[in-house]
Amino acid sequence: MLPHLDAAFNLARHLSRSQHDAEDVVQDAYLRAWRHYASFRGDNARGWLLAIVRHAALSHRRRDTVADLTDEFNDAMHSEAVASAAADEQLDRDEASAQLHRALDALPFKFREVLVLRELEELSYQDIGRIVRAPVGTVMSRLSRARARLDVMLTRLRRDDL
Amino acid sequence: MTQSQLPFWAAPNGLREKIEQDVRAAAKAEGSRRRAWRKPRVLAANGMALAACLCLVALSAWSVGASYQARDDQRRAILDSHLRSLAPGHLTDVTSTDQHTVKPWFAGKIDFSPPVVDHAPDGFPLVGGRVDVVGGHTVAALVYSRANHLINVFVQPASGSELLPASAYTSRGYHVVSWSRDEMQFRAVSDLNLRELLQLRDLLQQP
Repeated sequence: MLPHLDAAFNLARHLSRSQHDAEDVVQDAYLRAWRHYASFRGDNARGWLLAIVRHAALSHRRRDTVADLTDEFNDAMHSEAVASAAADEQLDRDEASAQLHRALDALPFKFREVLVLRELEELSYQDIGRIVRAPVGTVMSRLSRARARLDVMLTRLRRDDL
Repeated sequence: MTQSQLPFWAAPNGLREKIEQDVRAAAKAEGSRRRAWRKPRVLAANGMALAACLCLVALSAWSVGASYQARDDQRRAILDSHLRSLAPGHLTDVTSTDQHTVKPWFAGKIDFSPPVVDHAPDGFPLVGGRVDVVGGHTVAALVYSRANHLINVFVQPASGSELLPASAYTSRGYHVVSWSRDEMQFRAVSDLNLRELLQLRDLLQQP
C-alpha cells in the first residue's frame, strides 16, 4: 500500500532534522502523493515520491521558519547551535556516527538533500536533478561541495570533542 | 570518504498506519467525488444509486396516482352517502332541532363527539343527525336545512396525515366543502349554492 515509506521517512528526517517534524512531513507528502497520483508519469515512483517529500519538507520548514534560518548562516555559526541541538537527541550511536550525524545536520538544506539522495538512496544525478529541480551539472558540483563541507564539519567536531 | 556510514532513518512504527488513516479519510472526503467515480466498485455503487432513484420515481408516481385514486374514491363515497340520505326515510336517525337532543344521541354510537350547534338564527336550522358509513369509516352526519335545500355535514375523527386539506369542489352539481377542526374532519355536501354553503362552514368553524 505504501511503497518507499522508509526512503521517504529517511529523506524527511534528514531534511527536517526532527523526528516529529519528519513524521508530519511524510504524512503530508503521502497525502499529496495520493491526491496527485493522476499526474504521475513515468516509472520512477520513488523519485516522484521523494520529490514530493522534499517539497513537503520545504513548505513545512517555511511554516515554522525561525529555528531553521541558521541554514543560511556560515559554518562557524551553526557548529555550536547544532551541537547543542544534537545533544538533546540522546543518540545512542557510537561517537563517530554521532559526529557524522551532527555534521550532516549542520549542513544547509541544499547540501543535505543531495547527499542523502546520492549516498543513501543512490539515485542517479539525473533523478536527483529532477527532484531538487537543478541541472545535472549543478547537482554534481553541489554534491562535491557538500562532501567537502561535511569533511570540514567532521574535522571541526572531532577537534571540539577532544 | 565517510558518506557510506551516513545514518539511515527507518520509518517509525505506527507511521504507516497513520498515513493509511490519512489517505482513507481523504479518500472518503473527496476521492469519492473525484477520480474514484470511475472505479468499478464506485461505478457499481452509482449504478445502484441510479437504480434506487428510478425506483423511487416510479414508486412516487405510483403513489401519487394511488392517492388521486383514493381521493376520487373518497369523493364518490361522500356524494353517495349524501344522495342515499336524501332517499325517503334515510335522512335522520334522530330528528330534532334541539342540539341538546342531537349531541347526546351520538354518545354510545360513535367514539367521538361531534360539535352540534343549531344555526337557525343564521338561516341554517338543524334538522337532525344520523350515523353513517363513508368509505369504510363510521361518521357522524349532521343535517341542516336552508330554504328547500338539505345539507349533510359529515364529521369524523382525523389527525395528522389523515386530515384532508381545506377545499371546496363541485361534483355532479353538488358542492363539497371540507375543513378540519379539533382533530375532526368536516365535509359539508349540498346542492345549495357554494356561497351559502361556505357561510355554513364559517358558522360551524366558530369556536
